[in-house]
Amino acid sequence: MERKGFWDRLQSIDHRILYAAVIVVIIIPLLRPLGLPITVTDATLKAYKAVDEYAKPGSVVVIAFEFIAGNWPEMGPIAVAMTQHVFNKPDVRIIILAMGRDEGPILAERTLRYVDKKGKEYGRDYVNLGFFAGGEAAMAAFARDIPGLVKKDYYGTPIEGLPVMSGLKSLSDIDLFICLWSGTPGWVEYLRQWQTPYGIACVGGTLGIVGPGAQPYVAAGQLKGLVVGLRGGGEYEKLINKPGEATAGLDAISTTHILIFVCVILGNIGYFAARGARRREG
Amino acid sequence: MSLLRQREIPIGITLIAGFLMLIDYYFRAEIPQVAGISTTVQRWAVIIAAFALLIGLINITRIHLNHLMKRTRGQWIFSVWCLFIMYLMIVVGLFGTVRHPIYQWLYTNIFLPIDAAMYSILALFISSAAYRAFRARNFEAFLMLASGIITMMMNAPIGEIIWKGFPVVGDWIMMVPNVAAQRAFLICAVVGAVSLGIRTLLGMERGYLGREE
Repeated sequence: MERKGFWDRLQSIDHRILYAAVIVVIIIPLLRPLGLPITVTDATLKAYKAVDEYAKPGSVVVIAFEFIAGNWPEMGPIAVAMTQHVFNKPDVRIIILAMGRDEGPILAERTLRYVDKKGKEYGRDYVNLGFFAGGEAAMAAFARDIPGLVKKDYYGTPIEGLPVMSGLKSLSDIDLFICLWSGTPGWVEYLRQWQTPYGIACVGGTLGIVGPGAQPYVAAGQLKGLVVGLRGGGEYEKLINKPGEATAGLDAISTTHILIFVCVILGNIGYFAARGARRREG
Repeated sequence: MSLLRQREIPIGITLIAGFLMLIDYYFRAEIPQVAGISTTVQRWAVIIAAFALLIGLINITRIHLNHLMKRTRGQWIFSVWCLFIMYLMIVVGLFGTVRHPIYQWLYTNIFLPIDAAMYSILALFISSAAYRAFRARNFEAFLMLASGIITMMMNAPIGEIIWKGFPVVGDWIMMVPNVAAQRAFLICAVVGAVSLGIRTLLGMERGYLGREE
C-alpha cells in the first residue's frame, strides 16, 4: 500500500481527531470564559426596537413557541431574552401558544422559569394557551375567532375566568406577534395566515441554520426583525442587559469557528501543495 | 364498490373545502357570507387534526409491536423501550396532566437532554463536512468557500476582532446574494405549490387518497 504524503494527510485528517478537537474547543471556553466583546447586528437591533415600538402599555403580545426540545440549547436563550423583554414592558398582556409543535407549551413553561415576571400575574397579565392541533387551519381559526377556538388555557382554566383574555375577539386585537420557530410548521405558515391577511407586526427568533432562509421576509419588512442563532441570543441578552446562556456559549462559538477556519485553510494548503507536487512529478 | 370506498366522495369534499378556503381568503370583503361557514370548517379541521395524533399512536404501536413479535435483530429491544416510554408518558400525562412532577421529570431529564444531544451531534458532522468539502477546486468552489468562511466568521464574535470587514461583507452576502437566491427558491416553490393545489382541487392529484386498488 502506498504511503500518503504529508500534503495528502493534511487533506484527510481522521474525523475522530476533528471530533475530539471540536469537543475540546467547546469545553475549554465554557469552563474558562474568554469574555470576547459582542456587537449587536442590525437584524437583532431591529427586533429589539420593534418590541419596544409595539409592546406599548395597553398592548397585547402573542408569543408562539414553535420549536422542539432538541433546539433548546440554541432557541432557549433567544426565547428567554425575547420573553423577558416583553415582560419588562409595563401594562402589556402576553399570550403564549403553539400551533405547530406540541412541545411548545412545555418549553414555554421552561422559558418562564428563567424570566423575571416583573410583578406580572398568571391569568391577569399573561397566559399559556397550550397547543392547538391543525397547524395552518388552527392559525386561521385563531385569527378569525379567538373565543370560538380557545375554550381553556394550558392548565384547563376556562378563558372566561382569565382577565388577560378579556375583549380579545380576533387577531386584529393583537399588537405584536413574536414567532420563535425552528422549522415547519413555523413562521411561513403564520405569514400566510396572520401577517399577510391581518398585517400584524411580527418579529422572529430562529436557529442559525434556518436564519438565511428567513432573510427575504426581513428584507420585505414582513418580519420587523429577526434574532438568529446563539449569536442573536447573545446580542439580545446584551440589549436587555441580562447575560445568560447565549452569552456564555458565544465564546465556544468563537473557538469552534476558529478551529473550522484553521482546518479548512490547512485542507486547502494540503490540496494545492499536493496538486503542485503531482504536476512537478509529471 | 361500497359508497365509502369511492374516490369521488373525498375528491368532492376536497374540492368544496378547498374552494371555500380560497374564496374566504381572497374574497372575504366581497362575499362576507362565506366567512361563517369557513370559520366552522376551520374549527372542524382543528378537531380532525387532533385525531391524527391518535392515528400516529396506533401506527407507532403497530410497527413496534410487529418488531417485538418478530424479534427483529438489532431493533426489538429499542421497540420495547420506545413503547414503554411512550405509554409511560401517555399514562402519566393523561392521569396526572403534563404538569405532574413525574411527567416533568421525564421530559426535562430524559427527553430534553437526549433530543438536544442528537441535535448537537450536528456540530461534529458539520465541522468534519466543512473541512472535507470546502476545497477551492475551481472558481465556483472558491466562491462557496469564501462566502462560507466569511459568514461563519461573521457569526462568531472573534471574527470582527480578527478583521472588521467580516460582519460588513458577511451581512452583504446574507442580505444580497442570499436573499436573491432564497427569493428565487421561494417563488419556484410557490409556483409548484399553486400548481399542486390546482391539480388537487381538480382531482388530478390523488396521492393524499392512498394507493389505488
